[in-house]
Amino acid sequence: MTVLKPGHNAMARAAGTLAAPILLLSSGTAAAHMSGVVYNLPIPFWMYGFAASAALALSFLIVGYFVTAQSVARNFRVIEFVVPDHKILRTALAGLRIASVCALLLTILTGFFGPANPFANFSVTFFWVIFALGFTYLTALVGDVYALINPWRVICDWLARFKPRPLRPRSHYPRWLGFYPAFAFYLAFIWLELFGQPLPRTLGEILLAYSVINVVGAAVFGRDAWFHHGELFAVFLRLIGKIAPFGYRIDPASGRPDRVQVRQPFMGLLAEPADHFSLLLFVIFMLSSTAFDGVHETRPWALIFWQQIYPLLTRLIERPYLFFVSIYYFWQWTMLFASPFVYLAVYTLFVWLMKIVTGSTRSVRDLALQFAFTLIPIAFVYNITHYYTLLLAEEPAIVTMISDPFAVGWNLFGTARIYRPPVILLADQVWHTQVGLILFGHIVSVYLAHLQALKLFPKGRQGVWSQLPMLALMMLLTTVGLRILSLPIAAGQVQDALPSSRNVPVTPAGDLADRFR
Amino acid sequence: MSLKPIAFTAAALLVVVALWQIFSAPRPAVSNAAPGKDVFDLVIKDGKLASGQSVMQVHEGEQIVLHISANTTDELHLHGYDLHARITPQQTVVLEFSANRTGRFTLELHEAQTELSALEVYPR
Repeated sequence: MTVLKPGHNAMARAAGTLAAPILLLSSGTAAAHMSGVVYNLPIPFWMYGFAASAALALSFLIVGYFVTAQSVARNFRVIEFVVPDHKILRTALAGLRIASVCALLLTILTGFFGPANPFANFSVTFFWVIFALGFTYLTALVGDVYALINPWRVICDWLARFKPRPLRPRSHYPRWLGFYPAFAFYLAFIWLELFGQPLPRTLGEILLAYSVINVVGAAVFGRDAWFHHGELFAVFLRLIGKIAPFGYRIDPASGRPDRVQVRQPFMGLLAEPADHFSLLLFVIFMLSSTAFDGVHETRPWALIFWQQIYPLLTRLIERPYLFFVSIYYFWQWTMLFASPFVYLAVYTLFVWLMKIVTGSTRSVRDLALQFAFTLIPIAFVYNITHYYTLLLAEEPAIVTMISDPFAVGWNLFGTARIYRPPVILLADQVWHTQVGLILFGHIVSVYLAHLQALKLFPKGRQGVWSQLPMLALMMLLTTVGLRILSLPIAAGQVQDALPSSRNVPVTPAGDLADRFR
Repeated sequence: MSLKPIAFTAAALLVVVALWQIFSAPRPAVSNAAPGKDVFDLVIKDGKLASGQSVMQVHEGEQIVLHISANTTDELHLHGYDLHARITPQQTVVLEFSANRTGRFTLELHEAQTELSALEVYPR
């Protein structure tokens, strides 16, 4: 993730206002007075080879092992506990809801009034690292707590209590709209993360605008409908929460969680299929956005543009070099926005193959929705492998910043003077964790797809055959994920043709295009 | 309890270990008895790297020597190792350190806001 990099504003550059093409490919950055940069090395090629073959071998072992349908019933055990309506629990939940709104307010306020340097600003680290990464991983462990404490939902609940009329639903949530609002916000969120990289003030403005959108959305469609379909983090964290061994049932009348479900980890993903095409698209983008983030700063990816596309363009249009630099940015953005559709096409192809193989009477669309959530473990481990080192590196800073969020000399919690250096893991530790996690996510996804197939195609060995297309798809996703982790990272200034050639005679730095010729 | 899960787990482990053995790179015969010395000459012109390597690949434990000369004054920062140096047109800066931390670390100029190069330290 390249979020925490100032002086890296793609918009400005794309507009040609910042005539510094040298920065173009920089994966690190400018003006970084604190670390916010990921120190990961690409995984060695042999490790990629190992992991890909291990994934293949283990997939077949799993399918071979679980060929019998009896295993299905055993794996859907859910224990439900009734939550007592106790005062302590109610107070604790109310406290969490208030804390959640306070955290949102603090993030917005520090964005506006805190230090301008993103690395020293509470809002940037808190929003991008602690919330977007840390809270996601916490959700995978403890379940979708966010549904109970979503700050925007809490604000709407408060508003509704004082003025119930405006927040009464105006219209039914249209079925066709589905999860498209959340999907659109997701596209915008990833774009901001990778290319927008808003400064603290802009981040404050964006969060404020997003808050207004949520209140308006809740006013138009009703709170339940809006926070089920429209709010990005509600949808994202609900999907991630399905991984956790805990589920929470909210009583629609009181809005209070009245049941806690305990289940095997990941089994929540099979509880129900995706109920709308847009939700499938959302899940697919969980995969493709992380894959794109991984690939978009690598050397082979940059070469595609500068070696294949750029020479063609220069032949067609005669424009100054900076023009092509902005084209390069638009190209990157287009690839990001196109990525879910490319992945969707591949996914649909394999689902179609599954339909052919099994002779199922279900439609391709129905099957695609039925298997959508089985992709989530792969998407989730992609996410962890890409970002967990950033969380470790940034977490010490937030401890310091929380005591003095506006950098005005406060020491609220007595932690303002504590300095711990960022945690930087050894490269081989990182590699082993990455490869281990990817293998783990792959195995879980294959297993879930297998259970799902047994449920949908119960007739004899039909279930086993139906595995093969899904297995192939998951192999493909895992291999692509691993390959991306192993690609060399494009350097800020690439002069020699091969980064692996050490101590070669140097050539003077030309412009970006020269460097890739 | 049946033996099936145990046999399955054993088979899975065996496969993983076997594949690891097949793929893992042979350890270099020459051990880290005498870690090498890597010298990199970087020339900075107007805040950009004019000559020198944009990616410096070394192995853990090696002694790194960076010679940096520039035609402007700026603040140099090597991430991860957190080495800072003031560069001036008058003299060549020499940074010498042991690559004892693995990972990918960028070398940048604070005032020009450019990434000059990246130091990639690979584990042995």
